[in-house]
Amino acid sequence: MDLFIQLLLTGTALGSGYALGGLGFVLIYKSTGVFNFSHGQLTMAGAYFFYMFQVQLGLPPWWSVPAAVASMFIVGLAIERLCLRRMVGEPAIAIIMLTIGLGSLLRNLVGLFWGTQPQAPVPLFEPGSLLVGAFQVPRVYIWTLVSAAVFITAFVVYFRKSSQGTAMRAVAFHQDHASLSGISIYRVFALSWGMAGVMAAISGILMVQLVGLDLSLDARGLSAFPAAILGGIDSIGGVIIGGLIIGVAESLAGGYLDPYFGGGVKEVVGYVVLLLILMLRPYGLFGTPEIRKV
Amino acid sequence: MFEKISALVALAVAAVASFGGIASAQEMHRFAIANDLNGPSAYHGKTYATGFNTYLKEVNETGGVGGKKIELLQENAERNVQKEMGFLRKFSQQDNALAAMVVTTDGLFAAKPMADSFKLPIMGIGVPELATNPTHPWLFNIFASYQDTVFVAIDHIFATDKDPKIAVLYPDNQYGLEALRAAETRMQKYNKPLVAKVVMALRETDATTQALALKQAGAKYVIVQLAGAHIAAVLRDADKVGLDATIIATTQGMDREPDLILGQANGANLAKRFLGVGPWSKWNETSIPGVVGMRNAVKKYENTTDDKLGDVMYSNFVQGYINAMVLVEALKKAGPNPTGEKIRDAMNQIKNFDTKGITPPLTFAADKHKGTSGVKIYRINVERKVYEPLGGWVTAN
Repeated sequence: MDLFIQLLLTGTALGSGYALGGLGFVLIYKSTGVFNFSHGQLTMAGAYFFYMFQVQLGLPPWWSVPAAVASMFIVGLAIERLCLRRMVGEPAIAIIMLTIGLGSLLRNLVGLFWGTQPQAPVPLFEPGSLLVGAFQVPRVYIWTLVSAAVFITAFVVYFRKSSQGTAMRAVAFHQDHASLSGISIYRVFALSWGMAGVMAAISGILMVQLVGLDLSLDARGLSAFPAAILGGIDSIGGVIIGGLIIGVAESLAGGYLDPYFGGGVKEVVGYVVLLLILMLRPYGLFGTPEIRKV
Repeated sequence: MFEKISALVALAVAAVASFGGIASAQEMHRFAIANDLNGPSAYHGKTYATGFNTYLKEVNETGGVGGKKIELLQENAERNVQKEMGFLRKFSQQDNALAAMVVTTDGLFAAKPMADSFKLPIMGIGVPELATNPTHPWLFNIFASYQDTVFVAIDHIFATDKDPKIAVLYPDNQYGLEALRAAETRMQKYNKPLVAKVVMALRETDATTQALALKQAGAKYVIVQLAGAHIAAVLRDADKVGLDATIIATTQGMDREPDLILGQANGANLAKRFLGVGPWSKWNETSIPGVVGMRNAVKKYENTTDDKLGDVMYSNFVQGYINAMVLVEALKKAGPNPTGEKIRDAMNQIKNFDTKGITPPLTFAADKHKGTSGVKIYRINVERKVYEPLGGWVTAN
């Protein structure tokens, strides 16, 4: 039982990071219709910006968080302005290939600037555990969960209540109608990519607290992809649930199945769960079914 | 007329270029490595090559060997075994290399059946016992093998604890299986079983589930055959889940400075649970003449100051430096017009080769292709943020 609870806690903390990353993924898709396959690399880049401000430039650890987030907002804007805007009206496959290429470029740039060796940012959360009921819960899990909950809530409020959020939702609903209403489509696209950069940075920084920092962090960031698909690619609530499901599934598989299969199950279990759920619900757990009238 | 002149000029250029190419090939002795130059673990190969090249710069500055300078040809195999084999063939058939190196342990194993056709002495950044035991005509381990480090680790544990609960954490590949085999073999000597054999993939950076499995098994000593980043992750996650065990790193587990461990929350306490077993001295062991010489070479050729030496000489730098030293010694012994075969035979003649304390003296023979079995046990000096040896060279009986 102790093992199960520990695995559940680990998975929930990790899943909250996936949920945050998945939000950026969903945001891009909802606003622009683009599957952003470079999201994992954006997550990694956000974490490396955090490392740069904190260790290389000597900013206090907590000040490095807004600095990294702001940097990634600018990176998101730059990607939209320099790459994606030129692709408006092009076939979806061309845009997908562009994001894949962008991911490869980002990964190599990170390796070029910060080296390929693992790095050691200063932890944000204090070590040790807290007694919750009968269980010792590592503080890093509690703070990761709390942080993720705060940022997710802030994002949902922003998306639902702010004028920019309303504009994003309007564009997501129907681009032409939104444009006719005076909403600048390009501005919304740019803002969406900027916000996706913000989400990637926060997700990356939280991941670093849990699993450390090296180039393989992009694979963690990419786990947001099954989380988003699982929850329903256009559902914000769905991606949060999806992230938690993927995180817990990975953790339980690592604890119970990896010892029997010689490892490796943890890495693929998210995609197996995704496949099973999509077989039953093709639009994900909370996705909107697309109905075409012929 | 113009076409004829153009054709003649092109022919002349081609002739000069090809002649120049031959001349260039003849002017340099060439060693080659199928390296890993990008990806999360590229620092192994890159620092290895830097160490190798630093020694070559020292030799080349004094005129090289036999009047010719020496170069290290690098190709990027990206830790892909098939690519490593492809590059070994290229080194042998196109590049006239005199010896070749690969990064991965799996690559060394893959090279075994093909080495006769390459006719090159082959060595790796990985040092598995099975590469040279039984002796293979073309494969060499310059240093003590992973098996040696595991043997010494287990002997060290039993010297202080008569009933230790020992576990192994390893990746499910040839590199990891070497440690598992070695641990199982050594535990038979003490008539004790391993309490757990837990797998952790090399690409994994979260060891929580593994730490939980080790805790369930009651492990008090965990021999970890992974890299430095994994050691930091294991220590971090062991602390997180309440696993009270000594974490023992083998060769590549000290592939970088202990900053990843010390940089964590509670890092100083985590460092107390660390032990390492390694086959070459560290850059900070300044009482060793060979290390002092190596540091001076780095300062001279890498334009580095004392306080930045650790940024250059970490990881496999020392391994590359010593590997170059041995190959240059073989080149000297091979005489004029060296070939892969002559280098192999010359290596077999190297006896008690003095690395000035960076390793124990190295000896090879036709039936002994591992230079030494000596290793040192290390702990972390928290104040100086370096590994420091607990004593001198130890050889497993």
